Order: sequence, then structure tokens, then C-alpha cells
Amino acid sequence: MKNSHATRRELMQGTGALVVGFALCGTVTSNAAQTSSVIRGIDPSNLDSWIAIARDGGVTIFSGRVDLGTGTEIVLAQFAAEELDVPVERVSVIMGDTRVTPDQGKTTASLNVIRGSQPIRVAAAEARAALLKMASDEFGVSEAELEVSEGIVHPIGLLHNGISYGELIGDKNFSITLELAGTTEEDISRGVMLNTSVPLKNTEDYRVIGQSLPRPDIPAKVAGTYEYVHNVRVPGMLHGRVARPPSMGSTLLSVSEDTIRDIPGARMVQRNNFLGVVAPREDDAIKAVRALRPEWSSHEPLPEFNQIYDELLNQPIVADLMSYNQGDIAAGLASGQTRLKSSYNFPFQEHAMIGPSCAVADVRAEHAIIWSGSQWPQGDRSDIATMLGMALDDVQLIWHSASGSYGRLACDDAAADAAIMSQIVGQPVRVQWMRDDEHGWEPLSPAMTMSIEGACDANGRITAFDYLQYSPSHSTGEKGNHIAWHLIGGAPGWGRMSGGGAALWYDCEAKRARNIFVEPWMRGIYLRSPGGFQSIFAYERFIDELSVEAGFDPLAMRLNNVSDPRERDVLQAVAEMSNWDAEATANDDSGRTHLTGRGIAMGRYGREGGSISALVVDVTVERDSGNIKLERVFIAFDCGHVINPDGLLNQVEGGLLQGLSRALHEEVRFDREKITSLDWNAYPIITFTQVPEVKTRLISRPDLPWASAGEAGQVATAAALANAVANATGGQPRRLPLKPDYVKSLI
Amino acid sequence: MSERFVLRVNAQERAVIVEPDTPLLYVLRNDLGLDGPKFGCGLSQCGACSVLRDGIEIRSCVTPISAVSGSEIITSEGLGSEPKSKALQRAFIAEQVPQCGYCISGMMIAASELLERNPKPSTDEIKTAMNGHLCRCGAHLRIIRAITRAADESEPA
Repeated sequence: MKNSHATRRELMQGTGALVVGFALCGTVTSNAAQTSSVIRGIDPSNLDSWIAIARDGGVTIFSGRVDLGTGTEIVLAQFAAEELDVPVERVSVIMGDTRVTPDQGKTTASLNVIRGSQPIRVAAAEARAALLKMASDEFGVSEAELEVSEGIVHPIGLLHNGISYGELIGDKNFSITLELAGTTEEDISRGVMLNTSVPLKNTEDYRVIGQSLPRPDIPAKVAGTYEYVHNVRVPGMLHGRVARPPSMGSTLLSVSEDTIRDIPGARMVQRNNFLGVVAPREDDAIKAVRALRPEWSSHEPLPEFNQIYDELLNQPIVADLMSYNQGDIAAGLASGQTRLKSSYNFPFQEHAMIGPSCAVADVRAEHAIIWSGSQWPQGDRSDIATMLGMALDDVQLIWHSASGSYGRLACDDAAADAAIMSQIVGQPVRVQWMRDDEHGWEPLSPAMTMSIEGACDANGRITAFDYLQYSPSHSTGEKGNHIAWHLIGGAPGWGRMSGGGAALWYDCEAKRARNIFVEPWMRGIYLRSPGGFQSIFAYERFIDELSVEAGFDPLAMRLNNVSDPRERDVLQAVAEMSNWDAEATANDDSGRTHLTGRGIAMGRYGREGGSISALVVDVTVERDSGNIKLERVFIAFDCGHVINPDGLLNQVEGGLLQGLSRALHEEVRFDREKITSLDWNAYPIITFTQVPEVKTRLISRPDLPWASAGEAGQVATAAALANAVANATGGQPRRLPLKPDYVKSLI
Repeated sequence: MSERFVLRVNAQERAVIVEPDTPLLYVLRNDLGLDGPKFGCGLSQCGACSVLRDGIEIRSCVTPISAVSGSEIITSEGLGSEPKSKALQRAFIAEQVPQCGYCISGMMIAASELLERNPKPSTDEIKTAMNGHLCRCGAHLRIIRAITRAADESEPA
């Protein structure tokens, strides 16, 4: 699928750079950005950087953003096909190859559709306009007298007289300069946007957008032939494995190559505290890393596991930031009839991808290529170049799909491991993390302790909502913080603060979310709605507690406090789907062996207004064991204008199940030295027999912009489940995960 | 010491010279170029590496090559040549099952073994049969639907 159709002609002619295979290439200079010092690589103001049309009519889109298994590839193809008026099958998408794709920032925050598609839509529309102009010259008629049918330009109504896009462009480039919508560092790092000189299609004219078109990657994934980064092989490649220290901060005291001498071709690879092995055979590399007997200094950087929430309050404070702050909290609290204060705890969690991180690097004296599953090809490229002491132009990164990632994880670390090893041995090296590497060393979703004080009046209207969280930033692992870079020395560390409380959607006049960011113990990184999943767990548990305290039905309580019709619609939809009965929520299961419960929660999350979900969860709790059985989940979901309904359903269902998994099971465990939950037994995730019946309703709003899809299906799941457990047990779950012992203690 | 092992893989006889304790997974991927089976845990916990050995699912990450000498091995790549498994593949595509797809190779193997011994499984039987296979993307509901669809579309047993 990739690399078919068109070539990037100017690069082919200029430098021979587009050898998309395993050959090393030189510096891409002919198309390097001139517009802004913060833009890396390919010039986004050149139309040819985004789109190429081949003589055979094949359209190639170049995207700096990548598809993490969420369906980005088909959605980008849909946008391009729509604006170009070509069949979607004719569009192929090259993603995340720093030699040929423009820098579009990180593939994060579910912004592929909102932000990643924008320049591609504009480029496709600009290309169509340019092709129409060419056709108008060809036919000697005005552009207004022409139309396009499936990539054929023809006089209106005269399809048989048409000329194809491929014939029009021939072997030429477009050579059209586009205008960037912003060139600040913030604009570029969030993803470049383009101004358009031609009108984009009107929503009512869409024929491709809004259709459940099948994903091009799926047949190969089903047949076992899809090319993951784990499958990349380069001639002369060695297999590498990393020998990790017992904890971050340990130093290597001694190690000898003697213990691996009997393993064919095995070599030890060391630079300062970075230690690994390489061998021609993968199984031999595994044997070798297990045979190494390094001695490390002991170090205890972690808090006592069972005191983490107290320790969060005692950690040095790095930043103290507000997510929102309006109205008079004290007055709001005073004016309420029912007043409540409650605290909630959320554990460290893993991204826990099924395929541990893997990367291949071929680092030579003059140039380097990295094959990585990174969500941020340009960022990882630039970090690795600095770490290796190489010029940015001499390092290129080619993305291949990794196993699913739901926020940036250890893919970038594996790339740095492979790069250092390759630089040392002078041969290409593939590094595959083992399961304990992934569970033990991936950057985590940080633990958080939260408190809320709030009140409501006699009508159930919230009069004050005061949220406070203590947590390390969710982006301490983001940049300059690769494990390997720390181990060799010189890593610049982290700076960005993220993961604060989500914007509160309730119509409360006095509200505040204060986020106290503390020093991290371990690297943190975004995991599917960072800060959102945690804070919305607290928000929606609190609203439930408040509704119980004030004597309101929890659905009515929420409806009392939202006025946005979209929020009301998802609540009413899920109430209808689940036959919500306001009278039936009081639970009397005394004496029974199994307690039944039903919970409701909602969430609004994401940029540009966000997406909205509401859920009802039905559970049965076994009294003796505290085991939760998930019976049914109903979810109503609104992310504005839906581009690919079936793809969206897959995201909503997946986010939902993953959210239930996080709420039911997931908690990273550690001792003072290191993480100890190193496999799927110690860090379980949801399995088939725990999967409930799920009913989903999508509310599409073609009158609204498209919003993000990946996160809002997850954000309210933990709260809805915990509210159901509260309803079943009569207790108030205030921490996750909802393991049997904890649930039993609530009964 | 390396030894020669002969096995039938996806209906072809293949010989490799490797250490007897080499996990089948690495032989399949690195010696025979079959990347359908994936490394997930190396602990027999997740199912990403599953293959069929004489029609029964095994975890190739913990199975030494010496234990499967002379066996008939089917990887996910080999499923497409057999009508029932072809129907299963069609169902997984029709239901647009995978997200990242990393677990799917193992899921296909487990599902094909299930349908072989139980052509019309109930939802609960599907869940039980697939329970040892982990999926992080949350594609479970679609996997269950696809297996049901494949069963419905195949001839009555």
C-alpha cells in the first residue's frame, strides 16, 4: 500500500532521497524548509510536499502524522479524495517518513482529524484547482465550464471528452507555494496549518466524508502480512537487547564479556551506564543478555508503594497551575444547601502495548536512518540526532506501525537504544524490548491524588466546584528524556507540564481546578486522555456522591447542571437506551449473594470544544469475593461531524473496553528500587470473558466541525463503573483499580 | 550445538539448522521469514505468537524447535489457503476488526482452531476459547462478532 503510485519527483531528481527501502540516503536539501527556523525537513509551504499525482492517476498524500491503528490512514485518504474528486481507492498515504513527509508535530491528543487533516484538505483542494486550470488551458474553456468526475476533468456533462488528472500533470510538479496559517513554534509543534486560496467543499456536497469506508491496512493485518516496525530487517543487521539497571540512577560498577563468550557472535555493547548485547541471531541476543552479570550500584528512588498518595503531597512542587478558575468559590460553597468534600486516588498505569517496543537503527559516520514506531517522528529524530552528536540533516526517521499506542510510550526509547548500539558497533541493530523491559521501563501514566469540595442548592444546581490535584506532569518522558540518553549521560531532561484537570462542562458559576505538579519518581507520558481520565473519574464520582447526599437521581442531577443541547442529548440518549429508571436506583440487596448496581457518568474532553460521552454501566458484585461482573454498558457519543462512522465505532468501543480495563485491573506496582509488575499476571488487563454486552449510539452532527474521537469514549468509563459499584455495594469507591478486596471492603 | 530440524510449515517442507532450544517463534520469523506470529511476552501469556501445530494452538514463543520437529505448523499467513479459514479472514475484514492489529495473527489462529472443533460456538464459548488472547485496543467485541459471522456463513456442520 505504501510507496505505490507517485514518486516525489523533485527529490528523486534532486538527491535520490526517495529510496523508500533500506538504502541509506543523503541529506534532503532541495525541498528543505526556508519559511521558518522551527520547521524541520520538508517545506510545508510547497504544495508538492503534501501531494503527488502520478501519470496513472494515483494520488499520494504525504502525512507527518501517523496511524496508530486508529484509522487515520483511511480518514486522510477520505479527506483528500473528497477535495480532489477521485475514488478513495486511488489515494495512498505515506506517513511519518522524515525524508518525504512534512513536519506535522506529534500524533497525539486525538488531533489527527482536527489538525492533521487540515493541510491535506487544503493541499487537495489547491491541487484540484491547479488541475482545473491546466484543463481549462487544454480545452480552451473557462474553469467554470468544467467539472471533475473521479479524477477526470471534462466540460460539464461531457464525460467522454475528459482528460485525467494524470494526463494533465504528466511528469510535472505543481510548483505552487502555499501560505502557512502560523509559523510560531507553538503553531508548528501542534501541527502546521495552511491558508487556502480556493474554497473547500461544503458539507452538503460531501460524498466520501461521512462514509464507513474500509481501512486499507486491515486485509494485511488479518492475513498476517502487515509490515510492523518489528518486521523491518536491514542487510547486516544485528539483534540487540538491553541490560537494564535495577533502577534509574544506578551506575554500572562492573561487567565482563566473559559470560557471553560461548554464544555465537555475541558482543557486549557499553557506553557509560548504557549496557546491552548484540548477536547475529535474535535468540542468541536473548541468551546473551541473560548471561551478562553486571554489577550495579544500589539506589532506591521510589516511594513506599502503599504510601504513594501521601508521598504525592510531600513531593517538591514544580508548578502550580489552574485549568480553570472563575467565580467566588467561598460564596458558592456558602450558598449551597448540601456541601461535600471528597478525595480520590488514581494509580500509576501502563500503556501496556501487546508488542513491546522495537526499533532498527543504521548509524554510520555521516548519516543515520532509524526505523521506529514513534508517534513523533520529527521529535524523536531530532532528539536522537542530538544524542548521537550528529547534525539533524544527517539523521532520518522512517515510521512503521508499532503495536497500538495510546499516548507516546517506549517506542522512542527503543529507537534511542538501537541508535546507540548501532553507532557503537558500526552495523545496523534491531532492538526488541522484552516484556519485562516494556512493563518495567515504559514511561507511565502518573499517579494522582485529587480532592473536590463542592455544594448544590435545593434544586440540585451546583453552586461551587473546587478541584485540586497533586501529580507529576504527564509529559516528563516526552523529550530529551530517553532512558538510553540518561544512561550514556547528557540528557537535557523534561520541561512540559501536562495532565491537569479536564475542562468542567457543568454550568456552575464558581469553579476552579488547581493542578499541583510535583517532582516525578518515574518518567510519565500521556495515556489516552492524560489528566482527563483521572480528573473525570473524580468529577463524576463526586457528582454521584453529591446527588446521593442531596437526594437527587444521578441522571436528574446531571441534567440539572448542563444546558448545552449536545450534553443533554447524550445524557437523554443513554437514559433511553438503558431504560433509566429514576425510582429504581435505590438498591436493596441485603442478604443476597450477588449485588446488582447501575451507574451513570458523562465526560467532555478534547480540544476545540471536545467530544462528549455518557454511559450507563450495569454490574453484579459477588458479596463474598468482591468480584465485579460487567453486565451491560450503554454509551452515547458525540464528536461533532462523523467522518467514518464504522471507524469511529471501533474507537468508541475500544476506548470503552480499555477504560473498563484500567478501572478494574490496572495498577503499576513497585518496591523502593524498581517496578515489580513485569508481566501480564502482575499487570492484568481485561480479557474476553470479562467483556460486557455493549450498546453504542453515535450522534453525528454534520453542522459542527469534526472533533477528536479517541479519548472521549474512555474518559467517563471509570466513573460510570465506580458509580455502579457504589450503587451495588452502598459504599463509595474513591480509588482505582476496583480489585475484589477493595470492592469487598465497600460492602 | 546446532542441529537440523525438518517441519512442514504452511504446507511446505522446511529445514533449519539451529540450536534445539531455539523458540519456534524466532525460527518462523527470522529463519523462515514468516512474520505473522508476533513476539508479545515470551511467557505464553498473551497469544500474539500463536500458531497451529497439527491443528492445535500452541504458543511459539515458549515452544523449542526440538519439540515440534516433524510437525505440521500453520501460521496466520497459512490460513488463507483453506476455505474455512478464508471465511474467517473475510469475516474479520467485513467486521473491520483490527485497530493496531498486533494481536490479530494469534486471534486468527485461536479462532480457526475453535471453529474447527466447534463450528457454531455461542458467544460465551467464543469468549472462553479466546480468553487467553490479550488485546489492548479493545477489539474484543468485533472479534466476537467476526467469529460469529464466520460460523454463520460457513456450511452447517
